[in-house]
Amino acid sequence: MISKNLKSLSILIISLTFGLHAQSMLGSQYPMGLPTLPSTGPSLSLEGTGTGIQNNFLGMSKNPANLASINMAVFNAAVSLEFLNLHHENRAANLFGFEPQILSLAIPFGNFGALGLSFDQRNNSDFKTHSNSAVQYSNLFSQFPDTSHLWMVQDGGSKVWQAGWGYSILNKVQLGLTYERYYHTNHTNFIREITGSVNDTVIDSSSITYRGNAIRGGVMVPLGKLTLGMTGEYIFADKSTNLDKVVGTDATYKEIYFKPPPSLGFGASYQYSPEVLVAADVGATLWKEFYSDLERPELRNYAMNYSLGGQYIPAPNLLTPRYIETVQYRGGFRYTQLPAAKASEVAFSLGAGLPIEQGGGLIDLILEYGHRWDSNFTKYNEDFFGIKFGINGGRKWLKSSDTSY
Amino acid sequence: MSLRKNILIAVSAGITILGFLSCSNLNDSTDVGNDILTNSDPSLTSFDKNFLAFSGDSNQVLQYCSIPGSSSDPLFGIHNGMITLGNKGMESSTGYVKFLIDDTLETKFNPGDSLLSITIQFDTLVRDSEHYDPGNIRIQSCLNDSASVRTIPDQSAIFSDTLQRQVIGSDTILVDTISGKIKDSIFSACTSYVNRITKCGKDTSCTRIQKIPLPIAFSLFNGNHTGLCRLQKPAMTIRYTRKNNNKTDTLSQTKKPYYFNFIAYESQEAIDSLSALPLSSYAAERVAVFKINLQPLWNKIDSSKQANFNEILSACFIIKGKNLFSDSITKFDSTIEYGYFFSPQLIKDGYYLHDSLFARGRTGTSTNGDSILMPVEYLLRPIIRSDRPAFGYLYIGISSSYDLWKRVLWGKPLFKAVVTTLKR
Repeated sequence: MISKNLKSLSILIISLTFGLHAQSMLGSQYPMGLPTLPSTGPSLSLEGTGTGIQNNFLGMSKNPANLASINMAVFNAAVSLEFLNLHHENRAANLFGFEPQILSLAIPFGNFGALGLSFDQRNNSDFKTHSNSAVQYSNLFSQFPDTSHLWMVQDGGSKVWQAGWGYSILNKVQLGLTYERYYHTNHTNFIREITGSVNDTVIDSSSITYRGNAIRGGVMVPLGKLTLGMTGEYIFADKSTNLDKVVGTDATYKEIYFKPPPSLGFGASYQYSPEVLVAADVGATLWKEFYSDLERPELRNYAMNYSLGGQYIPAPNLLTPRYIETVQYRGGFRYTQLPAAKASEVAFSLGAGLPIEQGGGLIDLILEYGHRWDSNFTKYNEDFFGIKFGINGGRKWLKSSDTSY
Repeated sequence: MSLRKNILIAVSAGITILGFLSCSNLNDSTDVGNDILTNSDPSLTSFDKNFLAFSGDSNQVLQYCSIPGSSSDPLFGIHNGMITLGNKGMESSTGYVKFLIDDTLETKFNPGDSLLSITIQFDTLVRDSEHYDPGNIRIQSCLNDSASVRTIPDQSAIFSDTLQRQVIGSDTILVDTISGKIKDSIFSACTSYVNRITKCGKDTSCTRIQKIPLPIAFSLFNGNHTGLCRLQKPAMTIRYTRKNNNKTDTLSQTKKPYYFNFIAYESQEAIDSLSALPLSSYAAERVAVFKINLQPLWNKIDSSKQANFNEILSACFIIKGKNLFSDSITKFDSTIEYGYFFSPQLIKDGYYLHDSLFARGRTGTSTNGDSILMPVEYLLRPIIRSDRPAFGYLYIGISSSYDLWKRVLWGKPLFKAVVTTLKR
């Protein structure tokens, strides 16, 4: 039944991929928005851990070198329904959004390695604020009350198209390299509006569009039950366009230099038994290397990310297990430093990977809870709760000829 | 599983999620956490740094007057497509109708045709209590439509007569038979057309000259009549005979006018007495003018230390009006369309003035109680972006009214504005 609903869930996930994002107020102050987790379902349920994990369904999302270990063509899609609770002193607001994570495809070519293609969301800068206040006129105008409104509406983020190749050297070292086409946009409307006896609006808008190239590489070294992994990404500086406009007037257009930050990641996994796997990642985004001609807030030099997770499969090797014994139970924890100097978030996740088509596919259902704060704003914090869906399909197109009868 | 069932499941899941969301206490947007924006740019969330309200008072009106539609100015009081004649109060009107004798008419005549009569008629008098009585309407030939020659009958006109009333069934029409040189000119132009064109042969420039229409215009007066009448459907009819073998046929051709209009103007007495009032009238197109002191607005902006307020967000005048004959304009009176304009320049030339009154409103739709709101922020924005004149002029005219003779006396307008900043 689960496998037969594969198409239905795929349709739902893809349609949600084009939805809105939850609106983190903290993320609004970062130059590229709030970092997201561009991972497939298995890694999302481990809270982003996976740099040192060999797994067909990770594709090249965490480490391009993982491409070298896949033995079937794999399709992945993941999306998150995100509920965000903003607290400020005694006030709170609940927001909701859809957040696409990744769409990816990996195809093995036997001894020639494997090709990977993907599209993923790296940062999210969507948010919208609105407040209003009565305009104070003299008593002569008491019959003509007006209300002033302040809106700030921002949308954008980073999206990346990737094409990569993974290759295994003597089954001892796996290497992966990807070329990335990196897109970052940020469009901000600052709206002053009057409603009441008169209705007028002034909109200041500003947008930045960056299109650049990046490379990403990874190494994975299997050492028995232990697998070590390392990955790094470098994004090249490029000219980007900055457009400022007040509605009703001419726009000003200028070219600026923009360079997203590079990143590094290290990971390890240990296959304690066929049932149990544990993994941990350490990563850093090098905001010190970030550059923009536009004004930006004070940022960290390095934003660290620590995550760990574990997987348990009750009966991975039984010939005729009950379905419940084949479910992949996973949990993860993550501590992530955000770009601002004193901002961080922690998150926990619990997930279940539901095998379909005799292990040829996997549906991930993941629950995530997290907390986000910035010590500069002690009275403000954000809680987020995510329901994440991942769909992973796999099919072996090249059969091994090792077996002889 | 069929595709239909898969889609059904997907849609059901989507509806379930949407239902869950709609039942949740979710916000579309919020101001919770605005302090974070304030930290990066204090002006982003501060109302004091984004809005500065200005409230004027009646003392802001330095002067007022109205620019009259006078008999010497041909640019006021012209109403095309209708003819209303007579006098009401201190306003009078004269009509004008112009025909072109051109090849659309001339080609229907032969050189041997004989004229019986040329008549001009106006039919279907508008039957309402105010406009029905035709009085004694004079029609006379007219060389041009300048207002200066149309307000007083021309004693030297080559044709001058009184329109005669005829009752046809339930309709009353006014008719006059054209006589004298005009009659001859019209018929001669018609019957000579074929010969004129034939003589030109293949000479296209000659043909073009011969095809130049002959303009025939008439002005219409209602003298000292104290009522008004409205004339419609002017037409010129030429009746003539044509010999056809041994038979003589009686034929007629009817020509519609090239255009017709009437001009309403005020008496010198009205000009003298009303020009000091902020008065707008539809018929004579008198325009009310208020001189507004803008310095208090600039002073308020300059005295604010909150921000650099450099853009008009909202600005409007609030004004009350009443009919000169005492009935007030309320939101229930939606018959008056007004045009207005705000400018740092004093405009007296009717050509520019009437073209300028492009901001439009209608009583009833832009009325709060008995006050009318006239938004002017888009007129003020260019001013604040360039220089800051000490005063400006608010012009108000009536652009349309069911009652042609509507006159509105305006009270002193109150001015309110909200200024903001430009962020870029």
